[in-house]
Amino acid sequence: MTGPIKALSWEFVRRLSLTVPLIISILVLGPLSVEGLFWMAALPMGEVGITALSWHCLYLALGFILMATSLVEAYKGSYQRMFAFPVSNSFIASWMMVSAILAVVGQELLIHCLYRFTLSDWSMRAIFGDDHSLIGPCQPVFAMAISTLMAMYWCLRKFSFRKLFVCGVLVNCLGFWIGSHYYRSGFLAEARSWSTFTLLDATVCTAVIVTSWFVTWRGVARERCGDNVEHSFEKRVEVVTNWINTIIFPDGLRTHKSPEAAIAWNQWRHCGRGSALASGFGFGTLLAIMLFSSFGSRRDPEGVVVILLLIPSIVGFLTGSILGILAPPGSRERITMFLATSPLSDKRLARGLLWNAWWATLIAWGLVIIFGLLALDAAIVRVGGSSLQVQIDQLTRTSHHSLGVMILPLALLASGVLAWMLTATFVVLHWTGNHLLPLFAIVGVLAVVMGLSLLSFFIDKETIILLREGAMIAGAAVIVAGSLLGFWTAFQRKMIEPGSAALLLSFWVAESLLCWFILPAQPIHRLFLIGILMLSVSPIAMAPLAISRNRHVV
Amino acid sequence: MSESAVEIKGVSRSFGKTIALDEVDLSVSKGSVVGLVGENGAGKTTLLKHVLGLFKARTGTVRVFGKDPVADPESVLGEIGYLSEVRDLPDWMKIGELMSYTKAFFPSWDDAFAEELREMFELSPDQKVKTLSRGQRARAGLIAAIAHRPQLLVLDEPSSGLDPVVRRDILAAVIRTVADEGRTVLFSSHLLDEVQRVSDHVAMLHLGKMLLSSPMDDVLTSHHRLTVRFEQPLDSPLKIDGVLRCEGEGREWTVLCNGDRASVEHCIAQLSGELVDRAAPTLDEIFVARMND
Repeated sequence: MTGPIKALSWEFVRRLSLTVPLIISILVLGPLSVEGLFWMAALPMGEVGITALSWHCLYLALGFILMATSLVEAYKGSYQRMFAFPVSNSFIASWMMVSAILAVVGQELLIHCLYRFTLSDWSMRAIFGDDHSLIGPCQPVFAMAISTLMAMYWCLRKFSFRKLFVCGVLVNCLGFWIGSHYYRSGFLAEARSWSTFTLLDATVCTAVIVTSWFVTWRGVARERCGDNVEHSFEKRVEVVTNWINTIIFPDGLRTHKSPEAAIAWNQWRHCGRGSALASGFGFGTLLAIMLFSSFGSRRDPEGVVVILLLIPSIVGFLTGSILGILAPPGSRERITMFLATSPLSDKRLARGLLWNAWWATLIAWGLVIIFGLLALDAAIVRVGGSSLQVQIDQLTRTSHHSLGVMILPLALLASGVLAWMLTATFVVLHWTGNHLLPLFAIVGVLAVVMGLSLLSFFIDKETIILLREGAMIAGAAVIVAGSLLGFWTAFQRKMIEPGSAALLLSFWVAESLLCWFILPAQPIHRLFLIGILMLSVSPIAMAPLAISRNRHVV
Repeated sequence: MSESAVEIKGVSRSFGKTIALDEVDLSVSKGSVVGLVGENGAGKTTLLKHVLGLFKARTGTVRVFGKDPVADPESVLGEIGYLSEVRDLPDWMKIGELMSYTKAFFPSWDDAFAEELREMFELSPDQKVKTLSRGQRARAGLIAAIAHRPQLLVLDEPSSGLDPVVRRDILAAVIRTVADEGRTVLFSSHLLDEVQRVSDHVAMLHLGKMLLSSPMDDVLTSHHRLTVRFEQPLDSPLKIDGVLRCEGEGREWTVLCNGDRASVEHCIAQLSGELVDRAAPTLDEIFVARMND
């Protein structure tokens, strides 16, 4: 059987040849850049209220989710062809399971090696602490998790709600089992790291993997003979989504008020609501877990503010990246012909698309904040009212927090602006049709941040402060100058009305004044923020320019 | 008001080192049906994208009803009905939703006509696009393209991969109907017998160059297929001015010529050839001869 294994492995490696290096780069550079960002904001990691264990678990979960998503995509693209090969069902099930396990386990081992042999080891210690190794129980747990995921996928290909319920119960049991290793003294006590892997743990993991293989094998056999078609997951999901659509979402058969409304509806139904709900619920849950788990142990309530800003930023980035894609992945087009041939000016087309981005961000952000408030409420109950009083007193008394309790509503407002800013910036960068542009923007920013962060080891403190402030002012100046140029170009090409441009710039001035007079930060930081705030309005002027560039290829 | 529906002058475009269009000129009169033919990669889709304003002309000009489709997409696309080769209709939309969505863009949308087409094409308003077959997708795309009664219908390979029944729907029921109402159709196709059947005008692209752009009748009457028998077998094909293609072996050869038929016949007679048959070639034969010329 070396022939099929060799051929399938070659295809598997080719399919993952781009995504795996990308995932590994994100996981290797991510912690370093987080460290750098905190350093840029002059905020030591120890004071942000997030424990090393929380970072560690978050990091492992992110790595697993990214890799599992890539694997699902890789298998979905190849299994139909695999079924036509002269190989048995057990071979297909075994090959998929072994390759998936090797991929997820190998990924962490590779990253661990990269950390050990690069400068990033410093960042690793700073973020994860010394006692949270990436080698240990996480490898068999990853193997178990990916095989469970695969079994669920194949099991639910022939869908029934009973199966869904059983899968849900089993996943919760496994989650509880994993959680019990971190919360050995009970779920309300403080979490500890999981470092020893017992014989019982090994037995549980092996049993789950073997059972998963059996379920996968049965699912593959059913799929191969077309037994799943009539009861497919997609068909059942469609029934549910149709039902939800009739209750919550506007009826597509109605008459749209305007072409822009039709465009916004199309985008909303296509990807807006999905990304809004997924990121809102996903990151809302994450925020709730982070707030709930670290509330009692936090030294400084500033941590709440950091988390409130960090999570909506990720939401904004993801929403922008998803809504920015106007053509299906893998397509040669950069915008679908269906959208590009809409009889609308670039300005009106951009307006419809921006409406969708606005609603998606608002809903995702709203969900995240609701989850955050619920978590805070639960945390208050958990630590008791007196502890909360101590926290708030500390918040209002500390010299850093001259805003007093106002810091919390302001942080909420800022998180909304930040989420919109990132969504709008990334959609506009994507809408230009050059999908490398957002990547260049991220890599550029990270390169500056990491470069300065690393330079601090070799250059004296005064020089590095000077460099940091220089980078901040230069960055802000580039953003403001570029945005004003965008406004001017859009105005000249009649893509923005003078009144709208004036309104947007006035809004930016108002934001800047609020920032300048209210924030208790150094002037240089305030100037930097004012520059960044330009991104909350400039994408509105730039969106038609981006659409025009994409739609009418020069 | 411009007399031409589409006026393309000196348009060139290259992708890297590949020349997609090379100084292409094309004029499409109002009310005509123009078939755009060419091999794969000849530049047909690129030319149509210029008409739709999806490519900005680097050299030359493109005008649709006298307007620049890049500068004024709202006005130009409002007059156009377009069916794409890839039929990239949103998979998740239902037919009914697709119709009401498209209606939002066209004030001239004719509900009764759209409904009539939907019934004729046997599509249900509750069917989702992703559940449709290739032919049904083409039909759904056609409803979206023609229910607003566009002044110009642009079809990019409308019949590729479709069965004869759907092809008949598209060509007979749609193209001729639109043309009979005095509106203009510009379509690209590989199926030359269909182009010959429905077009008033044919434009032939080859490697980005416009080889031929003439009324269909002129193209058909200016080309001749002659069957010739020689006294002695010929070793190689004839090389006579005006002969585009010469096929056969031994004594009997088929010649496809263009232009002055009498002059070609005279040359053949001088080579001791006897004219056995004279017939009008099909567009398919003309196309193959032109491509190999």
